Amino acid sequence: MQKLISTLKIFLVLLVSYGVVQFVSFGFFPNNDPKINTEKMFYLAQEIQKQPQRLIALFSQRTNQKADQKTISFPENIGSFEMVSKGVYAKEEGAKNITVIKLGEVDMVQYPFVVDGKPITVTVPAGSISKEALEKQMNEMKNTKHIN
Amino acid sequence: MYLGPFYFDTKEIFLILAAILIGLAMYFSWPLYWFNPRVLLLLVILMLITKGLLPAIHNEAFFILALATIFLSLYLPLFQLILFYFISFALFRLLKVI
Repeated sequence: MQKLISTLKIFLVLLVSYGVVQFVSFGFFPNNDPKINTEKMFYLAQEIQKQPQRLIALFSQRTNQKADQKTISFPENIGSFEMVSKGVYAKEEGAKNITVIKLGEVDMVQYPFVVDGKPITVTVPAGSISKEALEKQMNEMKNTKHIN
Repeated sequence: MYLGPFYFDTKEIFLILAAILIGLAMYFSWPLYWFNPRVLLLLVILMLITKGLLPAIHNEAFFILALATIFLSLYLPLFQLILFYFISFALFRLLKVI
């Protein structure tokens, strides 16, 4: 039994080393010489640094999604809410103001745009904003992004 | 066999013989088909050095590693081969195979 385990270990080591060699030579020694590729190492280090932020972002996104789900399933009897406009209902409860937007009831319009050579479609509630105003807002956002 | 203060077991003597044969093949330009004699000679030297560091009891692991390395010399470039040899050796040590 001991001999079998030892033999298994030997073959496992050979397999693992082969894998490590392939990984390391692909990432750090692409020219098959001992000179380390610093650019790839820098890239890898950056990727590793980004991982905690990505995890936090993923976690917070999931939490937000859960919060959204709660909001959506909140009012069962819409009768006690006052209709503000088509599909939008509101209610005051003490110091709280509750607004419910039923997306299925709201009339939507779609505006086609071309952003950076790619066609996109923006859906907004009908009558809320004109196409020109939306285009202006989008341009402002784009410019702000470039400045940052 | 004792050579001065050093003791050589049969496997070490065979390795030295192999190194001499490879050296002769290089000198007389004998073809070794798919094998590169320079790579083989370097591997034999590395094996002799590492074998000198090992007690004779661990011959099995060493034998399998040597076979695998020589076989891989058909496919891998020299640098990857040397990496494979040393990484395997280090892992053998870590897992207490040797």
